Amino acid sequence: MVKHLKILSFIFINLFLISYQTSSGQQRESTKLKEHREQPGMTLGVNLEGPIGHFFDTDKSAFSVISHFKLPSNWFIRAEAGFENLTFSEENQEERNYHYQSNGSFLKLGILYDFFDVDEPGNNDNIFVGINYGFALQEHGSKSFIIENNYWDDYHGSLSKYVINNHWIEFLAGPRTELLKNLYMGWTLNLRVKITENNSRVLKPFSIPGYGKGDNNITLGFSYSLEYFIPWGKTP
Amino acid sequence: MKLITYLLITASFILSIAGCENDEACLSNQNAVQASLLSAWWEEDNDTTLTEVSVTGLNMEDSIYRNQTISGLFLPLNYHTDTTSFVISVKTLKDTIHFIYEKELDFISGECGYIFSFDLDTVIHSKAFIDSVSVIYPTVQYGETLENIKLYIY
Repeated sequence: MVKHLKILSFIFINLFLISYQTSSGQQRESTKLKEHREQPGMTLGVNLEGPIGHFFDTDKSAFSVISHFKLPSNWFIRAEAGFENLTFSEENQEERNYHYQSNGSFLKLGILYDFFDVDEPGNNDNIFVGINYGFALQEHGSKSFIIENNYWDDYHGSLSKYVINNHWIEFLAGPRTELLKNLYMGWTLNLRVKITENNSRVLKPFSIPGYGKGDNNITLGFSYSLEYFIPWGKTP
Repeated sequence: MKLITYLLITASFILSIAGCENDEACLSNQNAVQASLLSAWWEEDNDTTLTEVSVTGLNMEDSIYRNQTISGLFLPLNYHTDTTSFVISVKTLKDTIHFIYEKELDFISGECGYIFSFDLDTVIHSKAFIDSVSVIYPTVQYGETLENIKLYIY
């Protein structure tokens, strides 16, 4: 059932992107905007991955801000910072035989290349490929856990909160389109590869902020961004 | 641009479905010493079968096996102690076997949670029908189904 919901939501989100893509393209052609693709500036916006993810996993709350800084030619610096809080619901706690709580934040910094080359005036759309370095710091613990034994007594224990950190590399690719003047919407497909995890105790993170499932050394994720472009200086 | 975007959207949709993770199956009863029964009358290892076997944890009322015919045993270890003892009876004969071990708290995965892993240190037993015990694999841990000990029976 959850899997069907996921599929339906991806269809919905992608249709939403397609419809906006079409309407914004027509708008651009009719208004004949004069901005050039080389206008210097930066964007500030939000990554909707966390709020969308909350619909599928209500135990988790996440939010992040995102920025693209335009460099000369087709290069961009990408930065993202955010937080993620996770507490198991009673249902999940019972199913997994332990309570889990985590609070953490993350930072990503990387470089993108826009390989969408078009001479159409006013077309500021992009197709990005790039690489990010990611770092997450989180405090997590188990207020209680049970190890079941079918013959002898079950074991009841707890693990107090402690701090861990993770480092990863993220490869990303995806389009971004200008919905309205200076307002961009885009998505990227992200392949994340864990490099190191500094964890002094037995508990593994259920979820790593900005990375995804803590058990996996490779995760696949999406970013859906809504950004506003702040221009400065003169167009070269 | 439209065509490329549509292609990328389609690709992402396919990948997003492919990326949906399956629920992990968690194993239970992963704390038992696995023992095989061998005849002590042969120089080479020969499997044997015992009838009317009952096994009970020391000071426990419930049986793990009750008057069964068996050729191997699964003996669950206690999480609260460093020694677990069992009384094994075959017809009218009774032996007691003690497992002395070190245990370590471990974490399997986000879906399956915590578990104990064990490292067998010593096995002590009486000699009514058990001739000797050989520890062939001292580790008892999650996901492994290896034989831990051989019980040689008179």
